[in-house]
Amino acid sequence: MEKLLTPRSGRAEQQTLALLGGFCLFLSTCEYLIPKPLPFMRIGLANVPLMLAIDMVRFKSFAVLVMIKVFGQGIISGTLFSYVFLFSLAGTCSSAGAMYLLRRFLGPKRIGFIGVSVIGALCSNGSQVALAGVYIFGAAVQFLIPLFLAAGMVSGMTLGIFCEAFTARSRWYQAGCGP
Amino acid sequence: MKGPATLKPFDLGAVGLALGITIWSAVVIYADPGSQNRIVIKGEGATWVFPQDRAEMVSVPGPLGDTMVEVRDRRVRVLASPCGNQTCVAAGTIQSHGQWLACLPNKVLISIEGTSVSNGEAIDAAVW
Repeated sequence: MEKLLTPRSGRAEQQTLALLGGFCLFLSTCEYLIPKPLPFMRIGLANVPLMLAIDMVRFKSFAVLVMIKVFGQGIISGTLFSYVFLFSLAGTCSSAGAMYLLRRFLGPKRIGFIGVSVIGALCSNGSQVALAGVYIFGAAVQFLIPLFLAAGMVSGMTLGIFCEAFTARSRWYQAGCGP
Repeated sequence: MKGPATLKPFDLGAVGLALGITIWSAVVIYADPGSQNRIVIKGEGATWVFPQDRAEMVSVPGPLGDTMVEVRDRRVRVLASPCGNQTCVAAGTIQSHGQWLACLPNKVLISIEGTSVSNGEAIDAAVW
């Protein structure tokens, strides 16, 4: 039986969720310290706990973790009550949904964290550029697209490689994926 | 200890897809610089368009206040902005076709676009 089919449940799942949620907030804070050309253009460090969570918790807990990440980032960056928060919400929800579906349906033998992460970055940047085009910049937003996609691909691959290396060595992760 | 991460079949597909879309978008958007560049400044409800060789100081109103944009020596920069993070000011100058500056909090986007103007006609207007 594949690891994905036996995620944690009950108290163990709650503890995993709390730990991963804490990692999301910590990594969001680290990312806030890194200069960026646009408020919604991030490396995506806080996506690492999300990717790890796909194999470790059930969908309900995964959705809670997504909300912890989105609202945590909003509070840390001070954008919670601005429209910039909508960019974060759209980007995270689209990328998290795509990553979860890909990994759960294709399985870890067919798709690794590198593919999951690259597609997640593509969905996140695509949805945010689309929002910027519709609500703020109009057609001029086209000039942002290549740079956004290229940056997302590089950061997505980097985070994916990190997750592959981490999950291959971490006994905590392997224990968290069930027997 | 296990070896380095290996690519799985759909990893290659995902990376190939992302790479293909990125290259395609870059070719489509940046491929035709034209003979003369123009500067497009888009604020909330207003757009300014003028040739890159003009010297201009534009005050672009936004929800937070006025963003000051300077065009000089074919270079464009955000001189001052009312936004909190000041990343648009720190971004420095742009001067080539396809480059852009943006201030999301104040809803300002500045880009340099190529045009097909070839006979001396130049856009010299502010479009509202």
